[in-house]
Amino acid sequence: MNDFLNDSRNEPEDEMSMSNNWSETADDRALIERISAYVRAPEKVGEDFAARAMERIRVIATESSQLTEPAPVQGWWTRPRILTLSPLVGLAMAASIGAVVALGTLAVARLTDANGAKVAANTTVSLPAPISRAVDTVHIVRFVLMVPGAKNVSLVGDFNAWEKGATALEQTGREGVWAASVVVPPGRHEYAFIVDGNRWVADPAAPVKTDEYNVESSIVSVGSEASHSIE
Amino acid sequence: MSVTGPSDLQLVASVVNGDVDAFSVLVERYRNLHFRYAVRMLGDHADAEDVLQSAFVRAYRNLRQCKEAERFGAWLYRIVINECRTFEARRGRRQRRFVSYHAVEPAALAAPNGMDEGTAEEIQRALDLLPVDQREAFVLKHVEDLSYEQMSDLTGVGVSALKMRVKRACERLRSILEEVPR
Repeated sequence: MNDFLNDSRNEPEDEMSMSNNWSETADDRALIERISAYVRAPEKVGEDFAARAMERIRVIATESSQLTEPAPVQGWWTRPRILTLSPLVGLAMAASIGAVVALGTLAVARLTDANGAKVAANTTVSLPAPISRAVDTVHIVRFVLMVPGAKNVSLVGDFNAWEKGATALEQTGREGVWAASVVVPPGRHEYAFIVDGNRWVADPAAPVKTDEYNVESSIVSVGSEASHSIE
Repeated sequence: MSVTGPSDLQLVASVVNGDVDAFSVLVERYRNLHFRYAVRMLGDHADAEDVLQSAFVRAYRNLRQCKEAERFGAWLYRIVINECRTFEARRGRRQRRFVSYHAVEPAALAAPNGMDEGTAEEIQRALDLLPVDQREAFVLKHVEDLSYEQMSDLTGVGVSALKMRVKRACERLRSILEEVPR
């Protein structure tokens, strides 16, 4: 699989010490001089690039009103809203959150497939704001993957710019079950899991989108319709 | 990069407040800035344009998450880098690396003045044969002329690891190109 998914944490210690002593050699300079005329030549997009980009963006703007709502640049989630909860309601909410997570974990045990990468549902919980802070509704999605024998699992998606290192799943108490709870903005999102740094795994329990290269990503929709849903 | 007209901060604020057309100024301002990076990474102008288009769309969708709007260009750069990584992973580029480059349209690898098409093709082919992480580090360092600290900030990779990747990329490029008669 592509090496881009490897990072310095996987490099052996001796190679790391070598990199600390690295310096550009005469051969390196000669190489760079030989190829620089091509590699450093400027490149320009086509004349219609901006028009095509804006055509796509205007369609998005028309379909989704979320980006047209007035909001501070710092983040829509900081828009102040007053929410008052009694202590008893707060305790009940904490208990219900635990129950939802527990239900999500129990669902893991029931799901099986034939591929060796058994997958549980992702659980979407929309929480009213905590008492101590006046904020808008926060959508937390719990992503769960059952993959026996994995050494590490990470989550990539459009909500973290598809950055491999941004969201690592952690092992739960159950063998081979990995999970992470992520704040996800409202709307439709694509995502996938990266297992052991080099295996792209879509979430079989979620709707799947196949691109023109037959690579599958998973779809999650976050918002009022998806609240409290357990798939 | 010198900027005339509204600042990136002003434009981002306008877009977030509903002025979609303000985003076209950002597209015009940055459309060529990261294009060379995408071309060198992907080896094809059409693919690079597709990736850059996707990057702008992602930037628009996630504009409220841009915490330093005055540095929109750097934030967009991170998105372009990740879009290139994702594109590579999805295309299974490793299988395509050994396809004859005679199949590549001449327009996809336009040579700069004074360099013949064959040389440009050889160099891009050599870049394409690098592992993606080495290619990324080499292009950022010796094409885009970034410092290792800037590269680390953009990629999230440590400076030591980046230096090692550049070193290995140079060695591998030298090995590949030495097999090609000048």
